[in-house]
Amino acid sequence: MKLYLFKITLLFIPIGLLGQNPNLNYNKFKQLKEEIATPNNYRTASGAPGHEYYQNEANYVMNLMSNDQEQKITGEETITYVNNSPDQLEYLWLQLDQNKRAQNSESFIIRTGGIKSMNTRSIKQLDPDFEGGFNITEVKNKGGELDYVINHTMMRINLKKPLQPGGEFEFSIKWWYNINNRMEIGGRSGYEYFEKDDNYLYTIAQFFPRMCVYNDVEGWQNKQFLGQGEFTLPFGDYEVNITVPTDHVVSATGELVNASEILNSKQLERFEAAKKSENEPVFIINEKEATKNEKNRKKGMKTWQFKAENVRDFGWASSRKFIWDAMVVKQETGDVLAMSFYPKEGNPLWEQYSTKAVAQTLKTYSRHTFDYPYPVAISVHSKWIGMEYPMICFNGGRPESDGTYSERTKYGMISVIIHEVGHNYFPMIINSDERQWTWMDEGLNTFLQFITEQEFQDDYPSRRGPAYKIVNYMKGNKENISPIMTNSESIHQFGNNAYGKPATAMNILRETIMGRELFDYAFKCYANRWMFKHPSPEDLFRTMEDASAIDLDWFWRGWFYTTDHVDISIDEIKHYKINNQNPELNKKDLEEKFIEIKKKDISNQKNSNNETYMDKDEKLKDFYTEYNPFKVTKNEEKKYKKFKENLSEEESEILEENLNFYEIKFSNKGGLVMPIILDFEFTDETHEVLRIPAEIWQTNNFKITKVFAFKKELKQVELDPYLETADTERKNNYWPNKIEPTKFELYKYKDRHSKPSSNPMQKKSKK
Amino acid sequence: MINSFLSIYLLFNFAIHEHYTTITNINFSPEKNIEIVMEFTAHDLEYYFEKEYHKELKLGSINELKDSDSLIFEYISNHFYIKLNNSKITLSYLGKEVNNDESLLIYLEKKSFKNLKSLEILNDLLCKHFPNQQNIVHLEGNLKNSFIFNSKETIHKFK
Repeated sequence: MKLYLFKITLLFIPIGLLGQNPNLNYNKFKQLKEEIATPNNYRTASGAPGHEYYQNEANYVMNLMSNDQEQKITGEETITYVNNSPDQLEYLWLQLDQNKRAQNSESFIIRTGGIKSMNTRSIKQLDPDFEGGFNITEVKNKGGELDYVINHTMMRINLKKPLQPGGEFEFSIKWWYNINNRMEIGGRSGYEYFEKDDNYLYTIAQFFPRMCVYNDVEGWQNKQFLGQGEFTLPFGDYEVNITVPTDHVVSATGELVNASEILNSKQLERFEAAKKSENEPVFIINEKEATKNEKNRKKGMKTWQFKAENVRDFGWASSRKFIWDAMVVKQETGDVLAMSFYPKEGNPLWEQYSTKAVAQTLKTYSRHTFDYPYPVAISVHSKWIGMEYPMICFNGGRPESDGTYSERTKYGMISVIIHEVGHNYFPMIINSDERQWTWMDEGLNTFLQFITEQEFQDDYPSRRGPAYKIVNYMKGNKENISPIMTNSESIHQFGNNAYGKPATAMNILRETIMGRELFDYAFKCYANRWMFKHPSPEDLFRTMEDASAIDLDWFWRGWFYTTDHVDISIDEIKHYKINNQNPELNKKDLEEKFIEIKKKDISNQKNSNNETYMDKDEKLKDFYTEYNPFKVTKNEEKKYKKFKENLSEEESEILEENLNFYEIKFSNKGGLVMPIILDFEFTDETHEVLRIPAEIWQTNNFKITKVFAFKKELKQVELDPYLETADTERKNNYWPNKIEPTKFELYKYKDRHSKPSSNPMQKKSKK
Repeated sequence: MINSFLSIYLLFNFAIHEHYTTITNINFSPEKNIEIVMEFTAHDLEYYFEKEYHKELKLGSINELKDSDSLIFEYISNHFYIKLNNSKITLSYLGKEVNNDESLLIYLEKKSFKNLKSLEILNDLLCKHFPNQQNIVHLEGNLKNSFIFNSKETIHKFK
């Protein structure tokens, strides 16, 4: 069997190497019809939800009990599942994400890598002492216990009777699990232990059995949770009661319903004040109070009640250590409370920046999409990570223990807050399938993160967005990278593939291909069409075209379906002029050239002051001594007159303009077609920038020649002068050739000692 | 039990911290020097040092470890080499640059290399703790080539 397979492989290799079938259409402008799904009544060809679009709904009522002694959560939930689909459902699928941490988890088994990459410490960490995973203790409905099957991170409920279109199914599940130590074994949720004051800080998510999405694209989206591909969840309403030690402070998705019971009168007063404070956050619990509270060990438990409408998930955080501040963000459609929860270890960074970063994110994102539709947006401090849930996210960025921080830490923190709060829009509200396509939320979100950062502060050091920052990733060997349109679990280089490249592509689309006006309208249209719905990649691709009248199939094909890169080269420039036959001009031209050479000639230069024999002896002169070969003869004048008489009006106009013609040859070396942007500099040092759409490559994707006409003469040409196309090789972007200094040269030959330290505030305080 | 070894991957399930990539540009200059710029994500290297050596580099801050340059160079020397004509070349460390966008650039150099007949590179930077690590190497100049290393492919002979 093996031998047979081997033979087949051998047979196929040469065929593969021979390349593509020349009889098929491989044009880079070929329409995308074969790659994307056929439009239907659920999703239109214009990229909007169709007239039969539907989505199912999952509503939850949950009671949770947090055990701070044993770091354990126990919960009971009642789910009401609404089948809005036209289909009968024989079974329901739920997601059990905690099972990824179970000892029989598939994600351990399929992960590849050599034993060489292990060390004693990592082995110790991995000793599966930790008993992770859900313990399901009861699954039932009114009719009694329900039949269910667990397949790793997925659980199927076998219905006795199929759930009819339009029908509802109410059932309940009881469960518990051990919370993971996030600092030791990692994870999106878990706890951090603070040894100094013996306290836990819990950031809890994916903590309950959650309904899968059933829709027209995937049927049940029950692809196993392996770690990379995140979540896909239906919308619904949540009522969640969280019981914690009485001195804990809880922050969660949704509105706190029983604030009047939970908060003391001073806190309540401040909470109300925060709802009116537009410019500065108001402390509901300040650092002094939090520091006092973290020493508490009060007996008893307290229940915090939260309510959230139309969300796809629920997350929460709890600790004695929380400082809590809030301010209001005013919108036409309603006020939003921007809030932060953080331990004193987050200060002074967190009190100064967190809530304001939340507020700025809401403002920028809303302008590009829609008003933020939820009552709160919360940032919780959680060392090392950044992770998003509806209305709440867990963010890193911790100063040093002496209260100072490097600039890098500050920007890292602001960036992660903008990014995670931004996830409220993608994918919490524009609810794309993360298990299938990471880029649909990470890429679009990173794109708006870049815009927000640039609005936060001038010259904000954004890591992703500008075209030139993706060049190093795109330019090289393609064996170990994959197109953006690759399933989340199969992606190499997650950060570049699913965050950096799609964010850059969207930015290029906005700045270079479509222009801000057309792009912003179309992007906003996509956001509003798919707000509180489940979009697919084609819905984005189609909307951007449909709302702008720009055929973008070539762009999606090149940037999203291939690993091609941009490398356009100026191969050759030739200068031409029309011979206008005017003997006067022609001869003048010849004379100038003659004089120029004469001037340059070294012997001529040195001899110019010498007196020659002829200077002394007039008798040596004859006809030719005075003869000027550059003078126009009568005969030539006559000939020219006749030539002009035969010209049409149009022809003579062109001739009089005396234009310079430049024939420029370009080649597309990277494969990815892009517009050609040229900066022409003329001999009088003026500039003219010309933008040629990518369609110039339509009939020949690899080599083109184009003629440009100017009144002035060219001095030099630069291709992609504003670094906007991600051209990977700039050496071939100049005429005449110009070598840019390399990064290495810049570093080696600059004064390295002039750079100030990145934590000058520490230096200052030490003095 | 053995399968669980691989769960080290769990450590790095961050939503924004998704880097695990270094990019090394190697230029064989016409003056016969080898000029190297190696780009890390500063956070990755710091995290790695914390896990592997229990050392906090604190790059770019006043509290930066005094010997951070020599530690980084030593680390790189153990996980990256260039073999020219079958013998390892000795690189010298010019310095580093830490930027606010988290990029950390390391500058290395080898002056006057001999004629190039064969070229082999080892690159398993950060692979030990980040199983998904990819290390891109671009050769610049006349050699124009590139290769992406990972924990399975740590040595590559360029043709």
